[in-house]
Amino acid sequence: MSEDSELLLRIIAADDREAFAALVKKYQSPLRTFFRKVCGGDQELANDLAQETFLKAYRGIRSYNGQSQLLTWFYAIAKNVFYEHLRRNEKFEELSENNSDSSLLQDSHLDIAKCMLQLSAEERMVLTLSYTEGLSQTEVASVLEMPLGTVKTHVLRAKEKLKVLLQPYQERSL
Amino acid sequence: MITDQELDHLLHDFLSTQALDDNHEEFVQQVMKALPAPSPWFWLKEFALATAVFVGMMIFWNFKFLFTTVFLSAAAKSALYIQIQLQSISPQHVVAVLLFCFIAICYYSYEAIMEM
Repeated sequence: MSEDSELLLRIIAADDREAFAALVKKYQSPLRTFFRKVCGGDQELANDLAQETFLKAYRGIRSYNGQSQLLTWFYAIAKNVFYEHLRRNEKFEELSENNSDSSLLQDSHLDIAKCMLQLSAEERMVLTLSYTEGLSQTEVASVLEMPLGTVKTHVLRAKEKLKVLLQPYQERSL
Repeated sequence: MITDQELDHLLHDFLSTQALDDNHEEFVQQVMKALPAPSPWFWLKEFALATAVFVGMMIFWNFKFLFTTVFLSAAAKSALYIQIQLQSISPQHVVAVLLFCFIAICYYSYEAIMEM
């Protein structure tokens, strides 16, 4: 029995909080990283959204059917949390640009983080998940509930946009 | 313009998951604090069910009832365990197992009542 399955069983069968804490500890890093990337480096917002994701996961833990990896399931919840956040906060783009903690990013990372914010939410998420270690494009499609072809199209389109958006930064660095 | 390879390298460098361990203990604590308080109903429900089963067995003392009740309880827990462990059993499978148990208990109950 895998470690995750054992923890899940303890949570479902006995509402074991320590088991849930172990799951949070194990998966906090990929989720917080994901939110940091799609939120333009805003750490505080990323932590809030990651926390909301874990709370939703806790409430809906019985709906996990075991057909995907647990991390993929967490990402699927994270996607919904991110969309809800966008709907709640239409001024997200300006806020996140203002709140980005640029001191933590290298110059090239800061440039790409700024450019990423100019992509659509779908493109940002598709790109972030596609470059996330351990997720295949099929899993990305499953997380985002999109056909595989659409995922590939979003990746291509986002990369084309980024090439144009990164042009001024590249000229500046020459 | 930036080449495909350069962009790929840049994206990979920026987006690949790096272990994020800054303040992770604090983060875990925050999540745990935000969880809803444990429901007293969780254990009360199990306790109520066990009591009902026990009372039922006391009233209709019958080995078939005893056997079926134990079987039903074990099957329900096993279904949950199998679903999680094999990670391939769909909820429909679990429903099928529970339905089978329900039919079995109905049959045994009918027989037990007829014998009384």
